[in-house]
Amino acid sequence: MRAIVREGYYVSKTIKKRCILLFGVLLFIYLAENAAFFFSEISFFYTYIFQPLLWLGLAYLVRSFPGVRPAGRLRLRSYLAILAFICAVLYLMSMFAAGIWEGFGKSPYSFTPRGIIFNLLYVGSALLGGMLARSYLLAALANRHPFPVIVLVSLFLTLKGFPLDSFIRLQDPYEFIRYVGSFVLPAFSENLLTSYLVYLGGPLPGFVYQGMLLAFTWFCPILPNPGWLTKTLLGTLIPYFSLLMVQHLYLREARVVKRETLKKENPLSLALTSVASVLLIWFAVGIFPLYPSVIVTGSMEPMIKPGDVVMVEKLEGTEVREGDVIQFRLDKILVTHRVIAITEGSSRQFITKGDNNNSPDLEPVDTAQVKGRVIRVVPKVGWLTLLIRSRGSLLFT
Amino acid sequence: MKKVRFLAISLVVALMLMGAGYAYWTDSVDIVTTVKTGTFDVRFAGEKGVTFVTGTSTSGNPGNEFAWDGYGVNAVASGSVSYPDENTATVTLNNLYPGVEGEIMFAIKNTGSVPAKFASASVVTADADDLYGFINTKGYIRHLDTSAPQEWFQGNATTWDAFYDLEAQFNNNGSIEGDILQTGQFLYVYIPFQIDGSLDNDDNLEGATRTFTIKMNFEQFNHDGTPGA
Repeated sequence: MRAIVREGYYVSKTIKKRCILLFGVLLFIYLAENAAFFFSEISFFYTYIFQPLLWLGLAYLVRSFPGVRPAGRLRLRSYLAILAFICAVLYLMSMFAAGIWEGFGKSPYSFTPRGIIFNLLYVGSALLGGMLARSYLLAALANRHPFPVIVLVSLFLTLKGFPLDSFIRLQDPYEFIRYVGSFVLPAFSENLLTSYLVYLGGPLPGFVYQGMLLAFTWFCPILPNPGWLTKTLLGTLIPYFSLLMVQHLYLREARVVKRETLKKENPLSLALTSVASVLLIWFAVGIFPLYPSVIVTGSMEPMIKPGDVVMVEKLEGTEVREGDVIQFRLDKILVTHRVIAITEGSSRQFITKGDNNNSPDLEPVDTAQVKGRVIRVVPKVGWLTLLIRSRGSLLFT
Repeated sequence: MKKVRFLAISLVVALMLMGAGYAYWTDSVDIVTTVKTGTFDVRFAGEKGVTFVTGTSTSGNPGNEFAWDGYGVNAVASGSVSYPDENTATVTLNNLYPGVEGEIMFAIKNTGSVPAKFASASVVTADADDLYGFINTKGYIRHLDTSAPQEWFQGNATTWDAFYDLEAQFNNNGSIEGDILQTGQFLYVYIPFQIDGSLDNDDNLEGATRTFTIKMNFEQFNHDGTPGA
């Protein structure tokens, strides 16, 4: 029989010991993550294998403990996961909007297949171990005094997220304020919301909320890059207001909903489907380093036929080589032709030609016009697009 | 519950449209900055400065002691490096004169929690004039501490390049490109420079002050087989 901690129960000595153990392990992992503070050489294996193993070990440890129940109502856990999803989307949208005003930047993270796998391991293990530990600590300790425990656990987990020397090196007061505003306050606000969600609904809503934010940060190639004041304001206020919204909606739902059977939803599946849909659309519109493009004409036959979709790898004009099939912008249309010669005068230009054309294109292509290089042809999958376009033309011409 | 689900779906649709709008909008926008996050943070930090070679000039007019327009040998030339923000190093050189030689130095630290590698650099001058045409530079780096071996951009210490090639020196050299900056580690960058001795009074640039900024972008190192890949 699994021991359950319920509201009003005193925390047993055993549970207290387990909580102390968890704090100790979290602290140990923090020191391990900051090994660079003590040693000058940190290996690849240490960062991307050993540290994830520590987090997975923590996850295993928490799972081996007898279960503790979160404070919220069992029937509202799915509801909380949906609320977590909405909070994450609101946050991302506000950051995106800020990016449109103040600019975007390249993500610093690796986007090679191997890089993505290692990052999944690195981020996923920390998310799993950290969230299960948070869930246990809150369920075990926050029953009698939820507010201070949620705040303290959030503060602990926030500070744990920053390198050991972060605050030591920031001696200039202005830089210190900027750092705290840009990173620490938003992280604390996010942690507060996550802890509240986890306190009520267990680890699932926490996974949904933090998972979406982490996935966006680590796996979106372009990130909003607002100024530090905007980061501070939005990063702190959006999670805080989201917390108020979650509290309001949860309390309302907890009082109003009757004991009638609710149609079961799987919030995790909803979240994953939504994320996948968004990523698919972003891929189609060309946000990622690789994007699809439908070919309309037969100028590159037999390599590319009308209705084929080409996968274009984005690249700088300076990286183009002779013989590459490139996609470039010509007024308002995209042309996909082969580079047959490169001229290196005052500026680099490309002479292009369709394989099926008798003569080269009239105008040379500047490096700035180049969008990318064709790396794969997927036959026939663009027929539907062509059909829709041709019907559109018939309608409007 | 239905309202919440409706809100969730609406937000997903909005996010999709935002992605589409963004892709359209950024089609002609060149995104060069690399974003910092709590985990990935490489910044200008630590030691910095400009030092001048003392004694007689070894280039331009070797052996000559410059006493040009009242300036003594290396008596007035000065310089400084500042970090106006964590992404930028601003270099200011004051009272330059023909033949003066010096060295700009700044440091970069990986303060994040994942290893990083150099991605690109940009050098932007605040003043567009002829003096930069008389500045020659080269560059080298040192790892971990300032007494580590020199790793020259161009493979050796003897070749001078035009100042306007400095950006290309950063972006097209083997020494810095393949380097991994582990968490907590420093990278020290040195840029020796000289003012060409052919600069004369007719150029009316004596005692000039010039300022330029250097931005360096780093990205995650994730071991893709070859260093720096």
